[in-house]
Order: sequence, then C-alpha cells, then structure tokens
Amino acid sequence: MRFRTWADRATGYLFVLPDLLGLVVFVIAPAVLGLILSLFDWSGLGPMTFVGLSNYKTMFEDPIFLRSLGITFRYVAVFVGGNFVLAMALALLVQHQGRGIGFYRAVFFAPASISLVVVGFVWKFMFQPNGLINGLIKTLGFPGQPFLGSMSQALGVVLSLSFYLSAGYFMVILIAGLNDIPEQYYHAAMVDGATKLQQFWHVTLPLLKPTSFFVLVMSILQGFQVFDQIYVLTGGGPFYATTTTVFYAFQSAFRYYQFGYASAITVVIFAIQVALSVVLFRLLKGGRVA
Amino acid sequence: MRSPRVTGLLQPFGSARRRAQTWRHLLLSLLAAVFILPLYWMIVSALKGPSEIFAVPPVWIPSRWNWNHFVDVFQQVPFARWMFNSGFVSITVTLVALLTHSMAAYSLARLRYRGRRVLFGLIIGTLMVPFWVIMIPLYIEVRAFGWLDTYWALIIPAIPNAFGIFLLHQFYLGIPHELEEAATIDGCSKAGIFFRIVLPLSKPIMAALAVFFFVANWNSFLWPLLVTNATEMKTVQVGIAGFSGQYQNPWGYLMAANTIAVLPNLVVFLLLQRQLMASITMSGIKG
Amino acid sequence: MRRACLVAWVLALTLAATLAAPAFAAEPITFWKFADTYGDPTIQEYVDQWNAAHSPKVEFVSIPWAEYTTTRLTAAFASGQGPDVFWVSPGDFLRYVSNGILEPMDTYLTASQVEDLVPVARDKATVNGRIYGVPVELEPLAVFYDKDLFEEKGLAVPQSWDELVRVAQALTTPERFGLVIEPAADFYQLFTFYPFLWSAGGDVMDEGWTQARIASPESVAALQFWSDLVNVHGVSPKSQPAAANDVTMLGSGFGAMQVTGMWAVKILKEQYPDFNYGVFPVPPKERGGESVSVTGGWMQVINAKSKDVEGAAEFTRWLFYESDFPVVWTIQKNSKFPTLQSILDANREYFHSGPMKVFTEEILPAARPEPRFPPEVQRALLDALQGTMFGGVPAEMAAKTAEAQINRFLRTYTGAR
Repeated sequence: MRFRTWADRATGYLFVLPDLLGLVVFVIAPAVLGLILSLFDWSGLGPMTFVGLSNYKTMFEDPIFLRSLGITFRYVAVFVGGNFVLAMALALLVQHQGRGIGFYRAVFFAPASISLVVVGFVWKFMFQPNGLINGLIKTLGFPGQPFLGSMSQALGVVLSLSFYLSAGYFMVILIAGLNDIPEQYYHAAMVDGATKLQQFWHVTLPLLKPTSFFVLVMSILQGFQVFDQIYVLTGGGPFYATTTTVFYAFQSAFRYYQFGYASAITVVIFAIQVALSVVLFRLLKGGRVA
Repeated sequence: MRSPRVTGLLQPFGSARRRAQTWRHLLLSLLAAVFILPLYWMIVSALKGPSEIFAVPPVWIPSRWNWNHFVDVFQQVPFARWMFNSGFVSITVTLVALLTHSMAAYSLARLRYRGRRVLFGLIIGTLMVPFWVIMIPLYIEVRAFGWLDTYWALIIPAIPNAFGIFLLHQFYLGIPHELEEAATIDGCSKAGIFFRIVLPLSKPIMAALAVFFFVANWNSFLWPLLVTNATEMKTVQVGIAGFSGQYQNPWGYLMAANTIAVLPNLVVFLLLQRQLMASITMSGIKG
Repeated sequence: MRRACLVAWVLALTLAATLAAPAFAAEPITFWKFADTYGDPTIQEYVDQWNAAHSPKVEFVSIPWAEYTTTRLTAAFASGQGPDVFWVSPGDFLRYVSNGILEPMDTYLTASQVEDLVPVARDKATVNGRIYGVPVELEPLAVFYDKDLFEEKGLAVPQSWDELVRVAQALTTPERFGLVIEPAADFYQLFTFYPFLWSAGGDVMDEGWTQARIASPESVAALQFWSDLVNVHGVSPKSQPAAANDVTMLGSGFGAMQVTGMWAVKILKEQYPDFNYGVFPVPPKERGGESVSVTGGWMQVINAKSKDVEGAAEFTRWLFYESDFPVVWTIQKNSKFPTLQSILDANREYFHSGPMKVFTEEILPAARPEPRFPPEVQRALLDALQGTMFGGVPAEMAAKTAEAQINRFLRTYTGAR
C-alpha cells in the first residue's frame, strides 16, 4: 500500500514532465528573456542598453498605448460574449448526428481551417467601398459606409471576422462537451416534465461548466492577443482605431525596432491576463462542476 | 443498444416536429451559405482569368474555366514536397502532443501531489505570451541546437502547448470519480487507470484536439518561415506565402494553391468529426 | 491494423530523416530578398549563371514580402547571423549603416563604375562619402489616368492641385473614385505622399537633419490636401478593394486616376493590354509651380560580418556591372529605371518613347530619392497624415505634434544621416 502511494505520486510528476520540459525550454525561458529585455533599450541590431524602468514610464505617458488599452478591453468584452453565444448556437444546431449534419459541421469549421489570407481577402472583399455589403445597403436605400476606412466602424469589421473564424472552432469544443453529458440526466429531466429550455438551463449549462470555463478563458486570452485579423484587415488603422495593445507591441518591435519598449508593453498585457484568469479561476472554481 | 438521442435544445419532438425540422434546415442552409463563401470564392477565383478576378461588380461564375493555375502550382514549384513536409510535421506533432498532453492533463486534474497547482498555473501562464514575443530567443535557441532547415525545428518546439493540456484538464474534471474508485479497488495503478479507463473515455475530445493540432500545424506559418531556408524544407504555407509579391499578387495561382492546401484540413475534419459524437456511455453509473 | 500504421509511420520517419540531411559541401554565400513571383525566377537564373562559372556558390533565398524586413531579417540579425548579401529598403538602410553592418561597396568598384551610377542613385547609397551598396533600380512616382475617360469628358491634364480636384470630381461616380491615393497606415503611404509634400514646397526636416519642417505652412497644406481629397471632396477612397493589386484599381475601373509608381507600366501591359492610359507628374500646388517626384527602389548590400565579404562583393559587382542583369531586370522583366547611366544611354530609344517618355523627360529629372528617415521620424509623419485624414485632427495640430516628436528625436539621434 505504501509503495502504491509513492508510485502514484511519481506517476503524477512523470506524466507532467515531458510537456513541462518542453514548455520550459521553448516558451518559459524565452519569455523570461523577454521580461529582462523590457529593462533594456534595443533596436535589434546594435548593443543593448540598460535603462531600468524607463520603458514602463514611457508607456504611461504614451497616448497611443493608453488608447490601445481601451480598444483592447472593448474588443475582448464583445468578442468573449459574442463568441460564446455564437459557438453555442452552432453547437446546438449540429450536435446530433443526422442527414447532412456532417456537412454542416465541416462548413462551419471551414473558416477556421482555411488560410487567413483567403478568409481575409473575402472579408475585405465584402466590406470594400464597392463591396457586397455596401451593395446590399445601397439597394435597401441607405448610404454606403466606409467600414475599414472609418474610425468608428473598423473595429466592428475586425470583430465580425474574429467571430467568423472562432465560432466554428469553439463549436467543435462545445460539441465534444455536450456529448460528454451523460444522457441519463436528460432522461431524468424529461421524466420530471422539463421543457427544452429548462433542460438547457438546468442540465446542459451546469454540466457543461468545465468546457464553458475553457471556452471563456481561451476566448479572453485570444481576445487579448488578437493579431492576425488586424494584420490582414487594417494594419491597426485607420489612425490606430484598431490598434490593440498587443498589436501595438508588435508594431513597436518589428516596425519601429523598439524591442525593449515592446517587451515592456507585453509584460503589462501579460499581467492583465494573469490577473483576469486568477479572478475567473477563483470565481468559477476552475470550472469544476460543484 | 443506444437510446435515441433527444437532448438537443433546437430539436423538438411531438407534432410540431416536422415543421420545426424544416425551419432548422432552412436556418442551417442560410448559415452554411455564409460560412461557405470563402471556400467558394477561393475555388472560383482559382478558375478565373486575371481580368475577372478584379472585376467590379464581382464575377460569381467565371466565363471560362481556367485550370492552368492548378497545373502551374505543381509544375512551377515543388508543391508536392511542401505538402509532404506539412503533412509529416502535422501528423507527428499531433500524435506526440495528444499523448503528452493527455498525460499531463490527467496528472494535473486527477492526481494529488505537492506543487500541482503551481505547475498548472505555470502551464496556463504560457498561454498568455504572444508567440512573436518569444520568437527571437526561440530562434536563437533552435539555431544553437543546429536545427535550422531540419524537421526537428519544425516539430519539437511545436509539441508543448498548454492549449491541449488545459482543454483535456477541463474534460478530466468532468469524469465521475466512481469510475476511478471502482478501478482502484480492482487494484489498478494510477497509470493503469489512465491508459485503461480515462484515455478510452476521452475519445471525443481527443478527436477534437487532433483536428485542432493538425489544422494549426498545417496552417502554421511564422515559425516554419523563420527556420527554413532551403526550398525543399518549406512547408505549404511558407511556400504559398512566397507567391505574393511587392507589387502584385498572382491571385489565381495563389487561390489554386490555397484550394489544394485546405483539402487535408477538411479531410482530417471529416474523418474525425464522427469521433466527436462518441459520447461517454455511463452504463452502470447512477446519474 | 494499428501496428501496421505504426510501422508505416516509422518508415516515413526514417525516410524524412534521410531527406532532411543537408547536402551542402562548401558553405555558399546566402543571398536574401523579398519574394516576388514575377521577378524571382529572373534572379534565380542569374544566380545559376554565376554558380556555373564562379565560386563561391550563391544560395538565393526569397522570403515572403510581408515578413522580409519585419520578422525575418530582424530575427536573423538579432541572433547575430544575417545573410551575406541582401536587399534593403531606403527606410532601413541607415540603421544597418549606423550599426556597422554594411560593408562599403566602393572598395570593390572602380572609379568609373562609381561614376556610372546616376546621381539620384548614388545619393541614395552614399553616407559620409562612402557608398554602401548598389541601388538596384529607380522607381519614380506619378499619376496614371484613364485616357478614354479624359477624352470622353473633355478633360485636360491638371496643372495644379485645384485642377486635380476638379478633374477628379468630374470623374467620380457612385461606382468610381476620381483619384486613388493610398489610405493604409503603412510606410508605403508616406512614399506616395512625399511628392505632394515637396510639390507644395514643404518638407519633413531641413537638409542637415537639425530641425523639423513638417509644421511649416507648406507642409501643413499638403496634409490638409490629402485629408480634403478623402473627407471634403470625396474623390479618394478611405479603404481599398480586397484585390487591390496596385494599378489594377485603375485597370478594373475602381479609380479614374491613381498615384502610383513606374512599375505599373509593366503590370498594365501584362494584365490590361488594351487599357488606354496616360501618365502625368504629380501637379504642383499652384499652376506654374515646381513638380517634384520621389523615386524608390531597393539596394543590394553586403554584410560586413560575412565569412566571405570578398566573395559577396564580387558576386554583387558581377551581377550589376558584368552581367546583363540590370537591363533584363529593369527593361525586360519590369518597367523601372536602371541605376547606371551607361544602360540609360544604350537604350535611349526605349526610354524616350511610349509611356516611358514622360518618366524620362519630365518625372525623373525632378525626382528626389526616397528619404532614408529612421523609423521614429517616419512614424511621426505617418501619425500626422493618418490623424489628419482619419482622426479628425486639424492638420496644423497634427503637424505640430509631429514637429515636436521629430525635434525630440533629432536631439538624441547619433546615427548616420
């Protein structure tokens, strides 16, 4: 019995070891270097100069950085909520096997599997000045909209693309989660005379908590780190209207060659993600079914 | 042996069933039309001549089917080799990652030992670092290992990934304890429980993960781009990105290449999506 | 069944491992350039030609356009191992010179070879009297227009900004923009803006880089003009169509006039062979004023830390002075100006006829090289332009902010000018 306890504990460590080792070498160590870099001034070419906390000081006097925080939070809030609702709706629609359902599932997942260059192309095509959406709007008698050329509309277009790419992706996760709920619970609920809606609220949602928690946390992190959609659609413009904090950090590093400053910005955005995740884990108990 | 599934919110029963089914299919078709647009546009653009690609208003059906682009893709560049590279890397990463991630996730979710929570936090923390932040140090590391222009550089750094660990962790949280207890009484070790009970139970989520890993690695771009120089070591996405130029993009050619490149993703999805449906049948366990 | 799968996979692994084994004997010179589907085969041809007759061998690597200067070169040089030979853009050039990365090229050229560079090209490559690379090409900017539309509406080539607006207004319909300018927040936008800035008599800073000039009334007028084109006159698009392949916006009828570079001649010839177009210089602000263009173009440079600087230089000299690559590159494969006077002279007829005529006779003589401003300066300028065009920031205020940023930068800047 004693050997068994010891062996089980060793199993615990041994099972984590391969991935942990990989993460330490390929993610954590490079990330720690990034953290150290935030205390330096470096253009990527010459020597590094130690500047202490001055990158952090610059940041809070940089109006573009401060504005990017607002844009990021707005983006994350809309994305997290919308993504969950859309992915759940799709998952419920195609959850069960049936004629043609496999086709629909594949189609909903398709945007997530095609190269973003192609999807981005189609999206730009739809929202361009003489594009499909404007054609539709004009046919209905409304004036055409600038969309990607508008300070107030560009972020919305980026969001719509994000939904489009993510809905089918998270749908797959939710389908797997939904099918993990033992049928017995639904039988019991039906015997009690619960309506479909009641079943959803009292059986599906509570039992889906671990999966929902995953979807929630992942979409928050994806939201904070959104990059590709902005890169493809707007390049952060017009006039920083779609420059989220992480995108700004990328631009600082690879367009303006301020690697220290970019690192400092990423450290801040990392801290925000950690803080939000810790709060969520506490509040929702890590998504454990109570 | 399975009981008929009646659990869907949007799948009603009784007398209104047929009419609701019609509405449901109408809704599905409408959604599908929107979601299939990029696919359709990609394929059609690959078949158009150059003047129709840029035409305003858009050309929905090309006046002449132009198959040249598909031929060009295979004749002008080593596209087949790139497909092989991508396939080899994606499948290897997927297989190894499924094993290591499920082991790590099981350990973190179901076993009790000192430091478990800290480890979990550390692993989840790696999800909060954007890739390009670690890109340059990672590049320096991989170069020091002598891995540039080899499969090692494409495969090894792609395996450790907290996304899979986190997702599987959440699923293992949901497995009823009764299963494990029964097995423990039967004299199974923790490792035995994992391989004999937990792993077979996690088929649906493993199928989902397999799709994600395959697609993510197949579509991976920035990292393969950094670590490959030689033409024969390029992956599909890196190769395709080489088509677009400073002044003009050969869209037809680009779309043809993308059309071919998306096929493996869709095939893998169609093959595995059935597995998504294999749910835990909890016979013998009280609800 | 499962075992069979495994065996197959192990076999594939072994196969892959053998395929992956590098087969290079001697270390070749690496030559990096951004990818360009139409141009790369030509470059590969000349690399093959070199490799057939010379050593060291050259390995040509073409890197996707969007990743070339941003991530790829950066990661390579940050890790201390850049390519031996590569192409650099004007905006990046000084960074490399200031950090001692570029080998002076004039050491490897004869006096007459240096002399042969046309002045605007020599200026591009010269820092403190030394030449750091060979300019590959010259690409001046102009306005391309739809000739048929001009004739249909009885319009004449505009000679001032007011006329440009009036012509653009006459050509604008609900489906068509009168004048396409670049709206995207990118360095390319700055490139296309310089001719307007200079034609108004404005500038970013003074010649010695001691003082910003962006808040001068002339500079502010240029910012205001671009904003007005989009916001007041409504003749220019705020965003571009998805398949915006440069001049295809003109060819497809999205625009009636477009500000773009000389390279467009070749694209139009290939993609819209029947399109009837003309070219005119960016008009001066007032009738009778001076029209100034800008000329871009890449530069081939040599890594001073290369293991074989000599070999890299020899290859570069061969490519531009001993092979016929410059002629094939600028005249046959593309529509650009060569950087060598001897080539211009040898092809007088070509450069003084057809669409080339206006470029040779009117635009090139009045073209300044694309400025080599460091990224900080370009950013200040880009922010001013974007802020005026899209952010609702008054041009004067945007310019004042940029002026302060540039002056602050110039006070601490110690690199090459």
